[in-house]
Amino acid sequence: MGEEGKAGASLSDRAVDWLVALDCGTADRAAFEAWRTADPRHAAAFAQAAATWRRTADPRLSVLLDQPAEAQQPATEPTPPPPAMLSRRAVAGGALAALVATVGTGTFLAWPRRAYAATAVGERRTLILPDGSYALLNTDTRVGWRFDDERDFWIERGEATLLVREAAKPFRLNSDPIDARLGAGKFNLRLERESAQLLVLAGRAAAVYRGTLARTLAAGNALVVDGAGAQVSHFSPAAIAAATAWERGEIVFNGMRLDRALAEFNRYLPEKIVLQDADLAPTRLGGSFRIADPDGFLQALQQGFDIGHRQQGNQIRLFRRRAA
Amino acid sequence: MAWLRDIDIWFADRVFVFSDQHRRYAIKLARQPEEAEELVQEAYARLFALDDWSSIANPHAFTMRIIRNLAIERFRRADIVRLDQSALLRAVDIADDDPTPDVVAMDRAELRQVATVMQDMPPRMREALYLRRIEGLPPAQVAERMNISVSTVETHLVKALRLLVKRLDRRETGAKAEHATSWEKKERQGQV
Repeated sequence: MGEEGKAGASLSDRAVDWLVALDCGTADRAAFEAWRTADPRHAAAFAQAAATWRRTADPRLSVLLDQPAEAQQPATEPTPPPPAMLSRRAVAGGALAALVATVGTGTFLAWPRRAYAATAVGERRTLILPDGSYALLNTDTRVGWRFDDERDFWIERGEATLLVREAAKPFRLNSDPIDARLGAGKFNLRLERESAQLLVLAGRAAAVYRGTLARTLAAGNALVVDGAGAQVSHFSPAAIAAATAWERGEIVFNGMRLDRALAEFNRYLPEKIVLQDADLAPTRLGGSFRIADPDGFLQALQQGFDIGHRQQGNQIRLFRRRAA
Repeated sequence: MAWLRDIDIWFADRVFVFSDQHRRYAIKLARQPEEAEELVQEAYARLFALDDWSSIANPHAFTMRIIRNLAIERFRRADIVRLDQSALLRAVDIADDDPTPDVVAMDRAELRQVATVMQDMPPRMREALYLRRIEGLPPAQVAERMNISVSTVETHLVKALRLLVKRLDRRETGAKAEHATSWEKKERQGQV
């Protein structure tokens, strides 16, 4: 689209000039104000430049930009000189030259990096974040964070509960598909293949789903995203207790179907439990079990429902026991 | 950033986040990218001529209505109004009274777009923008880190922001242009 009104395009350029000059401290403020108030078109052009400028400081950008840079690094990294052959001074000089050279080619060594933590299947872990907030990671979870001008926390996969401390800097929780700005309080985010859920246990969260649906959530409410879309649900105390039971090492089934209950338990098990007899799936289960004790769960199935189990390869298969 | 007024922040948060929709709607009405862009720019300028902007419940819907009214004015001045256009004008339905959500983040598609434009930039330009905006270094430190003068940093930033404004404004039409290019490529390959 070449010629979209030359006056309009140059107005936009002019607005950019002003904005950057102001940012770099080289603008004549009075002249700028005179230009801006001369015409609402000027004011509008300036505001659009400022809005675009603001987008370039979005904390999520560094993640998008990090990945290709990381991928390129092995290819662009210069071969380090063998240290034994060089004096200390020469090494220092060489390192500096290498740094300058690398920066010169546009690789950003100095880019602030995120810190990461992850848990394996069946593992749970508590992190103390730089601001004194806590993150409890459930099984098979990967998170990242960077605390500088703002507090940013990413959940890439799995599930975590955050205990956010009060602070002047906003606390941002980033994930696909839910982003949120968290106040002081306690929050649980769970990501699954086809769904995601942000549950507010205490405090308030301003949650955004894929940039479209935005809601302020109070304690007891959850933003639930699944194939059908996103909606806010209220969680009963029993549902909240079930959703947070893992923090105490427990798993709670409130009348859940066996197939769903197995999916829940399997999140924690390297060797998965599967149904050999598909017609067992609708069996409804109640009760609470220790995550670390799948045998107790299997025993309960045997005693309560006459469902047997046997090991086959790296699976545990469930079957209906026939009366002998 | 003393040069940002309340109306600038209001505009960024409540109006500009929907700029894609404004452009799409304007293109539907005007059918011509140049004219559509004029409609959008004129509508934005009208917002900045308002005294009571802060009392508008739904700034997005309000902006869409200005775009529509501007389009109607143009159609009236024209001799012939096409039927499909008048139908479109009647079909605008945005509930004006629904307040817009108080938090609207840039969506992922837009974010990726910003990242893509940044990645396509010449390395020094991108580096200056990155150090200033994402690392948040003052211009003097950016200059020092890059071993250039502050005025060169300024030049890099001006070029970078111009590029961003242009590329992001043309996302809609840009997508079409891309389509056309690949089609043209096929044509050319067919001819060879």
